[in-house]
Amino acid sequence: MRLLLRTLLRLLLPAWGFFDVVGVVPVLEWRPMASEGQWGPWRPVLTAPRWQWWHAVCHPAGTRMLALHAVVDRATFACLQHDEDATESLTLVSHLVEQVATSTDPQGLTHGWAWRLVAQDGADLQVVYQREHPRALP
Amino acid sequence: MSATIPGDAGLAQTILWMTRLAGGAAAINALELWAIRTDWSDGGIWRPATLRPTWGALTPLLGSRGFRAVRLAQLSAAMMMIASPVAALGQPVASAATAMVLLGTLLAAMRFRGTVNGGSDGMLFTVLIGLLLSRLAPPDSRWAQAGVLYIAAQLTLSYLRAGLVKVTRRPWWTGEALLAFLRLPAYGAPSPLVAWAETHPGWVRLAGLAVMSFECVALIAWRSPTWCLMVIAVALVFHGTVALLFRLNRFLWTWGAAMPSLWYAAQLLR
Repeated sequence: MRLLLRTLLRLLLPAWGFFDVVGVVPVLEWRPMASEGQWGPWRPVLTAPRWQWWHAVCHPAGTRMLALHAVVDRATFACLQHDEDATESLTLVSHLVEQVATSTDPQGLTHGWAWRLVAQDGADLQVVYQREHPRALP
Repeated sequence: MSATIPGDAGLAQTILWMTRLAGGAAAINALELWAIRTDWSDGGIWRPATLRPTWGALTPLLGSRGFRAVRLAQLSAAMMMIASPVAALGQPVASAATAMVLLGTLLAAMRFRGTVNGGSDGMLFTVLIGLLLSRLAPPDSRWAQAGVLYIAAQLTLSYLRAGLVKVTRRPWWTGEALLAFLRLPAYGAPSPLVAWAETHPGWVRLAGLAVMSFECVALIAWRSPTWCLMVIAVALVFHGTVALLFRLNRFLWTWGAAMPSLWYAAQLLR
């Protein structure tokens, strides 16, 4: 009921605040464990999908990408503000990284991976959250 | 004040066109979510096991199977809205289709907590609420008119609010804000364009000022049909450009669906 009321309120009284100003830019990065205790380099999790002109009509991959960035934004700002809802957002981010790590890098699948949320404000970088997912060797 | 507006053919036409356009926007919305269904199924990113604790009695509709059924129902209802020789379908069928799409939009907003294109879902919901009010009210009544004018007011407010906030931000006057948005990885603007923008700050500043000016003066659409046509033309160019550069295709269709309401408002105040 609380979720229904909150959603209705948000939809009935939209803030219409688009493109106000860019402040802190959250970035989600991950790295695989190449071998026992040896980490690979940090790399971005989200990369823009290829664009065709007809995507101006329908663009599932683009919509997905924007939604994933929204998930990352929410998790980062929840961590920065010590929000009690941070757990759910961080779990969604964890699912996302797991999907990327296990589908793109066999080493990550074998040994494990780590991910972190970085708040980028101009040249300043602040790691706001970091988690490791080591996997036991078979 | 009279409760009905005798012979207001403009109102009926406005409702008909907005029904078709909103149906199109809702169909695209449903198709896009269907295309990424593995992400909201078991084992996906927005998996039910993680989000279920807050769903309560709506769990059957928001779980993997239930939400697939909701998506298909929304797509079917949206197609009925597009096909909308509503006269042939009948008012009750058109109202039911609009209500179904409205419910689907609400459930999607709950399912993803506003992360899947929150703003465009907000405008689609606004259009659908206004349309449903217009359809449930007696034809040509003040209530039917109020539904359309509600959409026109929210559409104008969406530009005005965004413009007024930009005016108070110095980076929008210098062009830095627009450049920063072009650089954001979330929007994935074409890299040649970003490189060009970085070396042509004067043009970027001009573009930023143009966006701000348009949003702030959009209210003049209510002044006369001529002004309204100009605002609608500029708005469509603006949303088309945003769709191409920032990948926000849904904004083009949902804001486009609301445009006939602005035309109706301008005609009414003539």
